[in-house]
Amino acid sequence: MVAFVTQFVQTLIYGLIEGSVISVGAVGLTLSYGVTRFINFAYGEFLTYGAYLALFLSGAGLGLSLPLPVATIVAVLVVGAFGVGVSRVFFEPLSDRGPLPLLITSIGVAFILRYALTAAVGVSAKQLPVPLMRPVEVFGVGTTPLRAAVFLVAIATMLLIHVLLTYTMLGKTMRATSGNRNLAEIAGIDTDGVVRRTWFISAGAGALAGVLYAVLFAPFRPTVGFEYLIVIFAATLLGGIGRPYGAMIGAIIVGVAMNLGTTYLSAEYTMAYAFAILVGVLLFKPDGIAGGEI
Amino acid sequence: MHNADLETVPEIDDALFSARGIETGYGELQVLYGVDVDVRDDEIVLVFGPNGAGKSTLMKALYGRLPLWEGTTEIGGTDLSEVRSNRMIEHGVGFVPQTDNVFPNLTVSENLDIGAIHTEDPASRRAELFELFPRLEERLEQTAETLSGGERQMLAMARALMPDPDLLFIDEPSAGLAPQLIERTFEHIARIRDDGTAVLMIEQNVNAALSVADRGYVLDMGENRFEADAETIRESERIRDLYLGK
Repeated sequence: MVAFVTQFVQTLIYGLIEGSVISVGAVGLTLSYGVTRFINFAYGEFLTYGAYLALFLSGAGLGLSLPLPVATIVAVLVVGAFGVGVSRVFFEPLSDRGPLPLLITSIGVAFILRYALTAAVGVSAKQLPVPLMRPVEVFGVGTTPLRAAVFLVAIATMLLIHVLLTYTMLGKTMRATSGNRNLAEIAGIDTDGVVRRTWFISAGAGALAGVLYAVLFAPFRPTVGFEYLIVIFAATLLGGIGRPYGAMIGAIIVGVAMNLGTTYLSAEYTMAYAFAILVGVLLFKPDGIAGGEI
Repeated sequence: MHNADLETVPEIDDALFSARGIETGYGELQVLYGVDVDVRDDEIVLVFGPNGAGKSTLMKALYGRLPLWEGTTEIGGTDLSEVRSNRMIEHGVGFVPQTDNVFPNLTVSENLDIGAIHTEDPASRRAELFELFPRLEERLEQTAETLSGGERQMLAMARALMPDPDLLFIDEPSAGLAPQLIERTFEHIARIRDDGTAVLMIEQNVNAALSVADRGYVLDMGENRFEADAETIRESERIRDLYLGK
């Protein structure tokens, strides 16, 4: 009985930690959906680029060896700017064509970005320079300080996004643009500028999620972001796409469900649990994909 | 298209806002054929006419939501013809659309914050608008989607009035409102004028609108048909027969 409780609590802890990382990715995806109204399949590549950029900046290949936190911040800023560039080159020219052409374009962009990276760095697995740590345990459950740090960074990011959306003019204009873009323009908001800033935040959040994922689940390959995209989609749709607070809750549910499934059903199907949630949402809660406002 | 017995629409010399020879439409379809409208700085001007006359198209064109094919708009001598709608407020022009005129996911307070982007002293402006719309002050933290139709209309006007514009365009202010709210809405519009903001509105409910309007234009088939002060329009049998119903 004690062993069962210990294992269950431990699984919940892992689920919460993974859920917190998913939530960073899901919030980034859902914010960009809120103002652009299309599902960006290239979003996974922002995770991948974030992880690889942090890797290069912190010791592998560029002749730099920044501390990982500094490398992460630089990677988030660079990938954020890269996201703005990607949107201007590929998505802005199509922005008045409706969601379907944009969605299909984003699949193409995902291939371009993934194979460009593969061509540059190869397919071999890489690992961030993180130390191996012993778990700190209380009553037989616990986690490593590194995983605890990942959790805290993810939670801090959620709080930051909450403050941004609720208390800053940029956040309010993002929500206004999401809620009613026509009126946002009528009210004097530079909606194109708002969309560009949202792309920056979205891609930056994606990059951060990529680094956090790579810290939790090293090693990784150029397909890491695309593979994790299904998990992020599940969380985003569960929360109702376009709703950041929904995405946060959806992410925690998906993270916990994946870890419970892995522990008690089979570790072979970790991704399949997320996929099952995704299918379940589409079948039973189609309102979840009907969209919403931030 | 012109009927010989129709009065020509005069040009007003002391107008705050002038639109001259407005032609526009959608794609290949021309809707407006040279429409003129003037608004003085202390006036409520009503544009009315039958369905399909081009009233809503006119308002979109004047506010920069549709490009002008021909014609010019100006306010206080500044050319607005090429100004996009998200820069109109910087020229002192606000707009209350007929539908979807609030941010449903934002609170009342946040809707006013959005209106205040181009406002120098938002706090005192809020206080002034709460005198006009006390109901909004009671609803500050409610999201706009939870408001009643009348409250939404008040919020839409308050949002547009936050920057204290010189001129406010209002598209069908009484549409969808319960009869007892319609009179109050036009009272609000009269007070907006009295507080120093000129108003150009289009409205189907012409009799109610004429109770506060100073002047009116009849638009039909995308052209000006008639212009007169409100009293003349109210008393014109021809206008009554053609456009107001019996």
